[in-house]
Amino acid sequence: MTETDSLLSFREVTRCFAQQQCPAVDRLSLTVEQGEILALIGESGSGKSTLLRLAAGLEVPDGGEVLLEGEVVADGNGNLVPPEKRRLGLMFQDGALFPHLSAWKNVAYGLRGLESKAQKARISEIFEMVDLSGMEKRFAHELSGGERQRLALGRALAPKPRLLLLDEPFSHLDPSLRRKLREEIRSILTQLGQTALLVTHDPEDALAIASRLAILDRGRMVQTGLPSEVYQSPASRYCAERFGPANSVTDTVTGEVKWMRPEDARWISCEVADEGHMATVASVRPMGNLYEVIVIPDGEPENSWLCFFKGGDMIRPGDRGKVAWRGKTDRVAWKT
Amino acid sequence: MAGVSPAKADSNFLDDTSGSKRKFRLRRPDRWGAFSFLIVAVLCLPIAAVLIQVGRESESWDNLVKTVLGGYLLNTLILVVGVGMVACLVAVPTAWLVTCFEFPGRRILSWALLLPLAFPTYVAAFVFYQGSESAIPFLIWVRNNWGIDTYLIFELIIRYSTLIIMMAAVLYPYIYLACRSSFAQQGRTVLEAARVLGDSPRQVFFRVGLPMARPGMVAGLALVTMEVINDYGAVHFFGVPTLTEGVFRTWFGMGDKVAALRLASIVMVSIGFLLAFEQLMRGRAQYVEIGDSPAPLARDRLSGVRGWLAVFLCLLPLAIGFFYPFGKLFRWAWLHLTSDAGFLFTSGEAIARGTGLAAITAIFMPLLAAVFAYAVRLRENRGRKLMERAAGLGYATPGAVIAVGVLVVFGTFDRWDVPWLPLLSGSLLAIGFAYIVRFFAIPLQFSRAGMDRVGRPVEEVSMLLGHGPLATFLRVDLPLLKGPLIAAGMLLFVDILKELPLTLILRPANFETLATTAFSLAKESRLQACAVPSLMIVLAGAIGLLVMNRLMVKPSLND
Repeated sequence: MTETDSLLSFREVTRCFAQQQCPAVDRLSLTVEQGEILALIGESGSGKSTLLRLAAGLEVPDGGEVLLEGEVVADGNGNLVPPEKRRLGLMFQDGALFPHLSAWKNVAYGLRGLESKAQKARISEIFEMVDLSGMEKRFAHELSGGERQRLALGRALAPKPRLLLLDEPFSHLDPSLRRKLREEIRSILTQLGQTALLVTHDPEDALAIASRLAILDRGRMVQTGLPSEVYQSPASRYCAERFGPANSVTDTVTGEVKWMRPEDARWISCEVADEGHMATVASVRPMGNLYEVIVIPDGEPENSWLCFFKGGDMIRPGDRGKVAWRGKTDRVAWKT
Repeated sequence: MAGVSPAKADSNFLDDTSGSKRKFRLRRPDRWGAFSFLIVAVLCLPIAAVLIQVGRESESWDNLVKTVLGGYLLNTLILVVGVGMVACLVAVPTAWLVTCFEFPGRRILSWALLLPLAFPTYVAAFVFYQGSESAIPFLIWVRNNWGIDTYLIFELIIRYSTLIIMMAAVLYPYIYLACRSSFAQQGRTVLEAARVLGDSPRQVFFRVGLPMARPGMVAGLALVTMEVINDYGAVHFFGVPTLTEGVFRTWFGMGDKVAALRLASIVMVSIGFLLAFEQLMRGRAQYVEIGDSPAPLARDRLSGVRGWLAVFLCLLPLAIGFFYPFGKLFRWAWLHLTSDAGFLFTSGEAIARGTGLAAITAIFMPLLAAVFAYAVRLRENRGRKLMERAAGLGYATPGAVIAVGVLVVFGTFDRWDVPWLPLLSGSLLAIGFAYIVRFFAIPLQFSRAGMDRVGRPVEEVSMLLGHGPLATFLRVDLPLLKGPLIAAGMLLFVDILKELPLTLILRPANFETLATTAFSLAKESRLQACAVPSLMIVLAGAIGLLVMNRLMVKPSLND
């Protein structure tokens, strides 16, 4: 697919803030395709929110171009199509509902130029969609946290935006509510075929909702791909650690470094097995049904691997044995 | 989900169903920037005019430096230091008492201690000057009977100390307010920690409370100092010529414009230093404190004698700064109205004109300030921040200096003799404009605080929903700013009614505010008559305080 077919593209975009030394977004190129849900992941300060705001037109790039459906909407010369002309939807972490308007009027806010009958129909449809029927007259402070977020979603979707921007939409919610709302939003977005750009620092949000992930580090994109790809084959420690702990394992044949998940490790107590890497157990900690074991691989005294083993009750600190990485023979070759 | 068509099929906004694909227009959104720049430029014009004129030839400046300048500077310094010290001595302990202890009447006193702020310094001066004169017969008696001529020296001491105590008694609430909120805000955990670590309440005050309140104290002190420097009425009445009085005398008495402007710029430069210092100490706090009050402190109960001592300590400044002058004014006003009730109507028309202008300005200015604050906020960068600062400059500039600057600017326009332009000097426009320059910081602060409370995300959502900056301002910000803007308007109204030096210089013929009426009556020694408008000013001031106090404990726009 070429850049002009993409719904949204960033072309070598740079954005610097006066207070900071390095740019928040640094010559970054990225596209969002029609119908996909792209999640931007990165630690705080990696530039993911800035990128979202650049897409919205709330920030002006210092260099490069932002394109919507192939048309330049912002460039490095300060030219900008203002946010209100871009026909995008935006949902913030705290909902950013208009406190002086009722739920109904909040949704109606973006519906202009529509005759009142059609407008009413559309609003009712939205309330049904986000499961808030009967709450039309309430004000923001009379809604629960989850209801507010659903209303914010409805308000953003009401004018049928080309692209929905979601900025940490779940971070204000407690874990159980978060899981439920995540599921609801995912199903609404997929049913609508809505293109969306999600910014989050929570890997679960990203893995649950997104059809594609992009990982940002200090304003640059370091990896992009399907959620399973990015999870299984992280490109660097940084990428790996976005989704929990990972171990650096050097391929003894090619010398290449791979990033392996603790749950993929297998302990072989027999030293003569023809697979795996010799290692010494440093510590063992029971964690319910799993054991958290830290081992030091032979020949790499500086390195340590975190492993989750099921039958760890037989392992003691100081034990010697081999660590094999389950199901990854295609990716890591071992010298026996 | 039936009826919702996939985004791919009609990915346009609903209002854009024409079918044809709209070409985007790239443009630079700098109209708001131009607008805010224009406002700042106009607001700074009078101040710039003062500074520009300084370099010009002056006939009497050398003479002025040799004779009176030292006196002006010394008097200003004595008042600033004296009033500052006395005000701190009063404000800090009382603020500490009402925030950290429980004693009879604490809740009422906590609010009532603000009341002296309702007294403009010149109104308090009318009352206290009378009081200070009562010592003179005694001094004469001493001279006649003991043969010692203490008159000159003691008269001086009495006059200065009365003025200092009087000014401190009505200005200390600025420091009290700042200290009270800094005690209450950071207080709870830190103070409790100090107690747990073994400090007695007294030790906590000196080791934790006082150092913590220092930024607040300095901020309050800066406001007190500005009020002292700005004062014209009180120092004129007590015959203690300060720099501000010097500006009046030099321009209107000696007719030397340039020398007056030079004096004015000395005033401005010293206030500039003061502000820079205050900014350094204060960091990020605000002029007018609006916000939720934090959870109340667990207060220690003062019982028995100590409780009553606390009550006495709080009542003392209140008695000097409010009850005594209020009682006096009330009695005079009563005497006057019962003997000469018709008085109110003789100057009624002029007063109505002044009050009307105050009202119009107080309605118009908050709206202007709200638009300006919005324009600045829309694209926040160093330049716009600087503009915001510059727009509030008038608040730190004495009224007399602004008035003189406006005279210079409008005089220049008049000299150009533009045919379609009416005579501007001495017009209602001149004085209204001067009020805006002087007080723009107040509605600006309120708008700014209100908008920060509305929150940027709400505005951004509105823009993404297809409403441009102007529509967003009208439909989102303005409705949410209603409360703060009304409050700002009321404070402005009261401040304009109280304003003296600026109004004295710029008022057109047949134009009086309550302040000028009171001042001219007091100058004619018609103290009973003067009590009537003075009392009205004080009552208006009290209403202003009420509004401010309510704002400080209540407003919560978001849930």
